[in-house]
Amino acid sequence: MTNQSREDSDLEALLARKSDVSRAWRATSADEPSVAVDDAIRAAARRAVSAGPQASRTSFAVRWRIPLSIAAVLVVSASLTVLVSEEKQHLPGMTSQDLPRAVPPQPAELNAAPARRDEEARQVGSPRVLSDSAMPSQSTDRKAPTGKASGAMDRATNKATAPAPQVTAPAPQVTAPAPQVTAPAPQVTASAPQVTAPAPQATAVTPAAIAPAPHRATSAAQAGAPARNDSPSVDSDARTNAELKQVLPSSRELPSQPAAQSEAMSKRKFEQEAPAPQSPEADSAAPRALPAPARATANAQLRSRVTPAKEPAAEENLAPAAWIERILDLRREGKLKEAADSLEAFRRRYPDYSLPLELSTPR
Amino acid sequence: MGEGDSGDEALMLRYAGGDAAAFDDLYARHRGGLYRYLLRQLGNNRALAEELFQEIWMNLIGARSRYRVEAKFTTWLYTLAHNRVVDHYRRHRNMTMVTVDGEDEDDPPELPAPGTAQPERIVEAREQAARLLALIEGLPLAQREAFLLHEEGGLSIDEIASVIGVDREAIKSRLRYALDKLRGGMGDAL
Repeated sequence: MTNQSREDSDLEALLARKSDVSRAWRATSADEPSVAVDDAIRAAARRAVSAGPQASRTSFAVRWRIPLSIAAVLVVSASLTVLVSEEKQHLPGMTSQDLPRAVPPQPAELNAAPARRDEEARQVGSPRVLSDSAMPSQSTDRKAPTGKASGAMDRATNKATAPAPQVTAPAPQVTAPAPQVTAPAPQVTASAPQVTAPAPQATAVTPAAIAPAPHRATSAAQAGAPARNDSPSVDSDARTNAELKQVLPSSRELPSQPAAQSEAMSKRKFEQEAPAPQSPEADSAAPRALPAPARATANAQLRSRVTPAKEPAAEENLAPAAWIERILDLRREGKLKEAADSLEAFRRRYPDYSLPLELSTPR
Repeated sequence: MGEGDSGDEALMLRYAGGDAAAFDDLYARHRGGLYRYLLRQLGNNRALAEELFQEIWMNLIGARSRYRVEAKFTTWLYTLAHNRVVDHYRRHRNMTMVTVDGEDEDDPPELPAPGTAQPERIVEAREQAARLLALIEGLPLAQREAFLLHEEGGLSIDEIASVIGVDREAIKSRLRYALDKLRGGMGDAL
């Protein structure tokens, strides 16, 4: 047997644990760890097993930390979204898209009481425009929380009339014919210099023009902001009425939105021409505004569109200031009887209205 | 050491599942062999052997949840032990763990005097054991480790190669050299 074959056989015997070396080794090596080490290791193994559930709980918290955080963020976001949407539902007049939808009910309301509505519009609309144009910075306040319609309307008015450059830009086009008409009412610009731009337009509106409330409502609805000035609260009516008496001693009405569109322009022309027989100012202005045939055609078109089926008496439709102006005209023309009748009717209609000094004393 | 190996993996899985008794069985099976492996590899330093022995079992306990049956349990256990011994020798550079096979072939360990002078059998047996231990301690570390992994761990050549990280022919060579030295050192005492 060669050395190589002998080594192979010895290796095979060793691997088979049949080698004499293996037997000698097993008989020799009997060392073992100490009992203390055994106890320590077994105790550690038991502690690890008993602590296993705690480790499991910890790992559970670690595993669910991120998913729970994401879920919490989603819940908070959804809650905020629902709250914001509910807030928007409570404030329907806040957005510009909602404004046209809020306007349509007003003409029907105005049709029910045209004269009264016109009076309110006159008292409220012009001063509101004055205040708005005097304080343009308020127009950007869209976040004032209120659920009342009047508050929403105020904001809507501010919003519509706020962009002063946009509103005043087309003013020269609209007021081009107006200076010829505004001569009889210089006190408007004198007492309210901030509204001189819209004032020429407003003076073009004669007292008779204020009367057809449906027409005003229609034009207001089309123009946007003025329509919302027609429906303020009663409190604001009283307040603005006082302001109106201070700022506008004459009967001239100031439209709140000088930037009228072409249709609004034609309506104002109609308003200038409508009371032609009663108003000297308008009478002097009307022929210059349109030729007679064209004016008649425009009147017919606009009347067919805006005049109610049964038109009330002309004086009944006038605003108080305009009515008083007409009474004074009648007196100047020597129609004392008609003036007295008209004054009597005025007193019946507006018993609380403070008459000017020249009318308070009987002639 | 070999009997019950088929159940080592099952015991380890049971212990990983929370069965402390399974660990006791597993520990009882492998405590002696692992301890002697460490003891011989560390120059019969009992304190050091017990320290590393305890560390290895603690590592096993801590890694129980990551245990997967991808090899024999003993292969995993002695791989932990091998790595721990290597770390120990890396920290103490005065000892060299790996030697080239056969490089110290001509430098056999010093053997105790032959037992022919021992008068009694018991004394002869003790001297024979001491001589064998001295021969094992005198083996190069690589040869000694291969021999101990086979004798104490019951690992096959392939499993030893897997634990140490060398090919199986190198393991066979190391075992041949170790066996030849031990046989030569023991003489007619075997």
